[in-house]
Amino acid sequence: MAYSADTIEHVDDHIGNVTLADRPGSVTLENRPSPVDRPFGGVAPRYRFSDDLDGKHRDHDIHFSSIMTTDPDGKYTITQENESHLELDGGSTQPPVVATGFNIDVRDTHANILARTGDATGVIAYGTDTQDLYVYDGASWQFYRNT
Amino acid sequence: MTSTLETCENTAARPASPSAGDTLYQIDTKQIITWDGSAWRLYESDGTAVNDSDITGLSPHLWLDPSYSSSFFTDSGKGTAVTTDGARVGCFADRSGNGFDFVQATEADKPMLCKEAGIGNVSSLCYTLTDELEFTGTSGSETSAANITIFWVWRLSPEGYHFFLQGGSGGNEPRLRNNGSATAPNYNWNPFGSESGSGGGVAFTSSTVSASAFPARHVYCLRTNSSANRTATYYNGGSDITGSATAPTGVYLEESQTMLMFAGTSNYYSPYWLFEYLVFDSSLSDANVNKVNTYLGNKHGLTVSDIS
Repeated sequence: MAYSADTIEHVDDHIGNVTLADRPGSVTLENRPSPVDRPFGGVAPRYRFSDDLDGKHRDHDIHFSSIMTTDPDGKYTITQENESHLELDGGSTQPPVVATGFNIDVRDTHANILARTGDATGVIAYGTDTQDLYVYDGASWQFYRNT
Repeated sequence: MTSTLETCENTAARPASPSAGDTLYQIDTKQIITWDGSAWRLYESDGTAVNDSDITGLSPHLWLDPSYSSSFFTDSGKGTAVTTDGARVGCFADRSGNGFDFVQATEADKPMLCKEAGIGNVSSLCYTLTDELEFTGTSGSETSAANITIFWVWRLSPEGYHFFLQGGSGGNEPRLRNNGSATAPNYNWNPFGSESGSGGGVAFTSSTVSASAFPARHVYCLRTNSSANRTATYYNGGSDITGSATAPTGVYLEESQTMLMFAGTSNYYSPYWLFEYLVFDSSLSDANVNKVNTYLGNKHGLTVSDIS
């Protein structure tokens, strides 16, 4: 089986490049095609992110470089090279990873949110009946009104 | 893991090198903060969320709730809601379900809706000059004055001899008034039945306390209890500031009697703000007084303490 990389391109320090300080250390992918069947190098999944808050979301292509190795157990590990790179496998068996934004998984009624216990400071919730946002401050829920 | 914002204690503890879009919860200010690439953008809390079931669970006899979706109308018919800041309100509808609405038919005497008047953007009614709302008692509204609990959230002007609540037929009705002057105001409660009268009454706060309290929004609670033969009042919770007042006799919201909320005359000009008014037809326990005080404190951004 042969694979073609979408892009082999190394982008480092030009305008628009991003530094991903909190990148994951490495990503282990299971059930992937053998690296011998495809070239090493970066792929170019398309990320969408906003670099300001003026409501004008700008699309950016971010190119990453990676080193792929094969573990004895048959798993393939992609390791980042430096702070400017994030390792991703853009192979054909999985679609490119697309950023979807921060997800609020506590979505409940106002009453049920207030009845929750054991939440940590900073837990955020969405009121399905009020459309307000709620953040737990360690003692009670602060709300941020939908306007 | 539950979706959780990263937190920082205060402004000084914000990340030194944030990336555009980084969003945190700042603990000391209760703000959500987002880095836009060049500056932190701040999103203020609208207040501490409250659960209305804390009130409905206690079955209020009367509840004028400014946050309720159906509170303000142009007139007693309740056909047209009032939502515009500065508009006249002819009916502050009772949320208890008992229909004890406070109304005003005269256009010039209707208080104005005041929005965004503080934390939580809780609306209020602003009274000036002759503005007042009235409620005429019914057989259903009348309740023993010896065992009631009443809460107000309001902001008052330290103007002498103005009546915050008064029976329409004069001094023989229960009334709450500022019995002092602009420099020495105090709460004064002329209660019911044999204790009623046009003069005297019980001064429930010292002029020193009231002079500083009146201009600030606050929770004022009055509770009577026949078993203890006592009337207690609380300012933002805390200790009983009544002194040795006994429980009144008579009835409250008496049938056929008109109660005036801010009995204005042309001699009075200072504005008053009524945020919330609650009546329970029983002497609430300490725990339940604390529950209501906490609810009102959170809702209106006030610091309250347990009563003692």
